Amino acid sequence: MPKQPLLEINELKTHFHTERGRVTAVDGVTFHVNEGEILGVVGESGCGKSVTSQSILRLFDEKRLAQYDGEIKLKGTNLLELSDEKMQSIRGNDIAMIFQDPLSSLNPVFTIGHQIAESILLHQNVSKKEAYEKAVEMLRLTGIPAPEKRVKEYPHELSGGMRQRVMIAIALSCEPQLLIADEPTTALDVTIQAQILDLIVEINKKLNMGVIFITHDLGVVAEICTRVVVMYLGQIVEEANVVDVFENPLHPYTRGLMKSVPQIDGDRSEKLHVIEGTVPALDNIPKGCRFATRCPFADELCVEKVPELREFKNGQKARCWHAEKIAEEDQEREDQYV
Amino acid sequence: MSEQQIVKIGKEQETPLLDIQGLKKYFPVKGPLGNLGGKKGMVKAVNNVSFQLFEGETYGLVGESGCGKSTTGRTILRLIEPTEGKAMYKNKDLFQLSGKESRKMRQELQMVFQDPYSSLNPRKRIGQSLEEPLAIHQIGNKRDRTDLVMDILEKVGMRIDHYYRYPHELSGGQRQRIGLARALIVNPKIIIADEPVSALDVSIQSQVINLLQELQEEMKLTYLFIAHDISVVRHISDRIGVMYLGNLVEEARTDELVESALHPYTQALLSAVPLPNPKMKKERVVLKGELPSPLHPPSGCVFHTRCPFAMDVCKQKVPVMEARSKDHQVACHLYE
Repeated sequence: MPKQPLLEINELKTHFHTERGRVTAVDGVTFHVNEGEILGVVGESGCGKSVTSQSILRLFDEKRLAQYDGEIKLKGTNLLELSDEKMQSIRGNDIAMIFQDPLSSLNPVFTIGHQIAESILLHQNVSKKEAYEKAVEMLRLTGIPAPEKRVKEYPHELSGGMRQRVMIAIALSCEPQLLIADEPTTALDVTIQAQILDLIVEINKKLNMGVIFITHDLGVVAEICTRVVVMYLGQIVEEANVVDVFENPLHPYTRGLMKSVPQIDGDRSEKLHVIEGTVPALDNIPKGCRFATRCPFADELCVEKVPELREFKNGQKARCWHAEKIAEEDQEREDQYV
Repeated sequence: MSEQQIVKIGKEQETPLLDIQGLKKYFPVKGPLGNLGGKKGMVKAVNNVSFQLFEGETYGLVGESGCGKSTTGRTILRLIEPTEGKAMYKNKDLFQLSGKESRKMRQELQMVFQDPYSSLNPRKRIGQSLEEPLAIHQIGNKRDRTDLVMDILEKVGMRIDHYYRYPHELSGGQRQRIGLARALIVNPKIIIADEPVSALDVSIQSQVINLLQELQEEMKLTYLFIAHDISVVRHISDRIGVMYLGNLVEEARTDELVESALHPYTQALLSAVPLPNPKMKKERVVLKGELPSPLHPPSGCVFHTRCPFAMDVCKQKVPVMEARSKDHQVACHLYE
């Protein structure tokens, strides 16, 4: 028997009540995260990747905006059944999150030391002095030079990369088992992004922590993730380990994404691949396969019937009626070249 | 003077369409009392930048945020007044033109902005927004203008009925197409595109990049393409200039720059780009530290605080842009 996964999500659905009626932003998402693993969640804006991660922490609770179905199990306990108080103790303690924009996540009127100590005081039974010492230690762990001085600074005195390090320090201060990183490097420059990615990988190894890394950047996924989940319009369309996703993508959407990114070592004379059209709105979801309106392989079956997420070799899963056929054609084309 | 001579030898046969020489833009930093407190210092946003645009080519300008690439683009159109320098276009210095002449000149040099959401007036229909440049430049009568707008809508891949839509009815990619249409409608020669695809999703981004390339061929356009994403810049550009802290540090033909970058900053920048290939784990040059404040830039070479190869001379002497081979210039003491 394989070990119990750290986090297990079963058929998660998140519904929102809007002016235009009930909208299902996440529609039947199932995946798991193991200890010490970095899982990448990829997709374009509006695909439900951020809503999924925020549903895990039940961040929509407060405003009573959302309604959940399904299960989110952290080491066997279903988070969706917990009381509000219990859930509050899970947030930060067991699962921590870092967001895209560190400036809007930090409070501008408190020093960063205060903000790190705050989360420590909230979750652990320590004195203020100990909490401050821990804060300095956390800053040192995230590679901020001269942490003793930095704890007394305010967010506006730090650069973007430094702020994101502070966010990571806050997230790690209570030694969570799971870290959710929602586009943590999107707002940063490439050279700073490289530093932050190295830091996340280093911490993941050191603390044997599970990480859910949400991004739209396929390069980042290839660099740090072990497994990948690709989302489109609220559903998972493909799940596989990182090598398979890049070398042998089964879903036409994944293939389209891979091909449409300009690569630093790609052929410049060739035109970029294009996925035709745009993502449909959530209140106007196609009847059959959700990708059928933009898919070059779509036929009547795709327009009429919803495909299931099916498993192929190596545990690779894809939600496509024609995955085998497409893979075969690909193989033939490759053979011809050889 | 030596650097300009070298460039001219390399490009003898061709005269550049646009020749930027020693462009400088300093922003004064004022104290809390505004002008009363006097100036606290100068931010050297663009410091002595020179480059040439040749007809029909795409020149990519890359660098990280705060390196001055956008300021460079904006000063060329005089959306921001330059502090010093020349921009020679058709034997005229764009920076010396009067207000009236400069407005006329903008018919030939147009700009496309990053954020298609904030660059369109939300209360105007798309058609009205597109007609505005025609009215300003007094091109055609009312009927001609409507025809021209319909033409350009088709050219950028929109439908004619988009004429009556409002910006909020369009997606990000469609809005960027309108931004492009608005620049193209006056038939410009040069387009300065400031991060035109960085606000777009991957699948939409490739649509817009392809469109930019198609239009360039069709309308014989010259692009100054400003972006931070090196993979995108590499795909679209013929030549690339790399900026760091207000200075142009390296310039070369695209393939040469990517394959044999000389400046340590360019090397670090290239190696920091994550490759979408999980099997290729390459050696990364990780830069220590962060971009220094442009208010107090380092002495000598501005990169020496983060440079893995910094020598004594780097702290004292400002390196000069010099040609290392044909069409490849670098400003670095390592190669002197």
